[in-house]
Amino acid sequence: MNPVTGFAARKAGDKLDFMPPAASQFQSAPDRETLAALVEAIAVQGDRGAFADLFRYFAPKIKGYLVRLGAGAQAEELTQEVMLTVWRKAATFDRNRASVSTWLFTIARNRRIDAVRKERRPELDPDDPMLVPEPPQSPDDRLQAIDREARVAQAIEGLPPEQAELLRQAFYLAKSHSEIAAEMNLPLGTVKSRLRLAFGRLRKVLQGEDA
Amino acid sequence: MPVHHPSSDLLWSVAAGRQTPAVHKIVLAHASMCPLCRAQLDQLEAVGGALLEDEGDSALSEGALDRALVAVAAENGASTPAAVPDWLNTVPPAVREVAAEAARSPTHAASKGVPSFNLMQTMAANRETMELLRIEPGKAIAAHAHDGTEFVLVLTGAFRDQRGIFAPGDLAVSDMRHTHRPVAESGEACLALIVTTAPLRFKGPLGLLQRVMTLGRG
Repeated sequence: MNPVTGFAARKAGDKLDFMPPAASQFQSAPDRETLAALVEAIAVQGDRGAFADLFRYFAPKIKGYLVRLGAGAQAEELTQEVMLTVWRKAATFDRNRASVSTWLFTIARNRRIDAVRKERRPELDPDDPMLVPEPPQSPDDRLQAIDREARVAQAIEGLPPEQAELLRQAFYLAKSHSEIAAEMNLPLGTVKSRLRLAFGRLRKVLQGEDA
Repeated sequence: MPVHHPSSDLLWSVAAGRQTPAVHKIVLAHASMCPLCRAQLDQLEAVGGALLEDEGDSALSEGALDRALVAVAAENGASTPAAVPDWLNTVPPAVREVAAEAARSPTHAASKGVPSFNLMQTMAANRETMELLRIEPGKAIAAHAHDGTEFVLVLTGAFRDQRGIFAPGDLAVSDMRHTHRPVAESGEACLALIVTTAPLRFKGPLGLLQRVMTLGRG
């Protein structure tokens, strides 16, 4: 049994003796194809090493997202549930429809909303409607979807950090301009102009123009 | 192809995860029946995905990965789907998961002659309900107005109210300004998923009964 040093070192059937390395083996942010291959390895081979790689990369981000949304002490447990859902539903992932980040975002989002519900009615345990397989797309639609996602990600990466932070607050938390201004200790006019720039750029991308 | 859609504001808030549970579910259910809204949601969710990738790391507790691997090891391959009750086979596949919750809940009648399944009990915090309603051809639901917002997603058959015909996949969103009286079209029974963000106020004798019962409870 070879020591497992990362995704590239694994092969089919090489899963039972997996021992997770202590730290992520991604030297820099992994690209879209690498992440998609990890989810597919879970779906096809039940690859626990691939799962561990995904966990190391995404679990802290998911927890960060849940903490941001006010999940508090529940954030860690919800993160575990999200990652277990990734294991269970890996076969519904379609790299031509969404990136792994987007797929995970929707799982985390839906889990959190279910958690809000379960607090009041614990016996319900529905699956995410999001995870019901969608009807197949035409090849043209698929190419468009990949292209569009890449452009959205690029546009957000290209935003100055202060615009990205405001966008995150407005998108996740639906905070008003004045709330954001008060919390971030910024003049209201600055918040408005930064958000206008961020949304303007995003809107162009979503509408299919060049950012 | 559905012709009645959620507003783009509503789609944004669902994509970002800012809606209440029942509203979230019914809009996703509509999108699963509506390629136009599905495509729009895909775009908006891509924003969430990009923001997630960019999210600052929040350290998990010691041994979190080991616990996850133990949980994964305990999984026995693909989970077998639960048996599907017959009535559920009349529901479009994409919304079966949501509708299946009906099978686990007590039934109650919203209006005489209209058996319905209450999917979610009224919630203490936001008074939200989700129901599956079956309206026989030609039958009506008592005219009612709304204290909050009502979302109706047609699953099979069709109904008509003052605004026109609603067919499978159509999402009717009504606020407190409308009093409406949905009537099922002839032909197939109309099966609809209904979410209310506050209890309905019925007009006529049923409304009187409702008020009496509310007074009795208060």
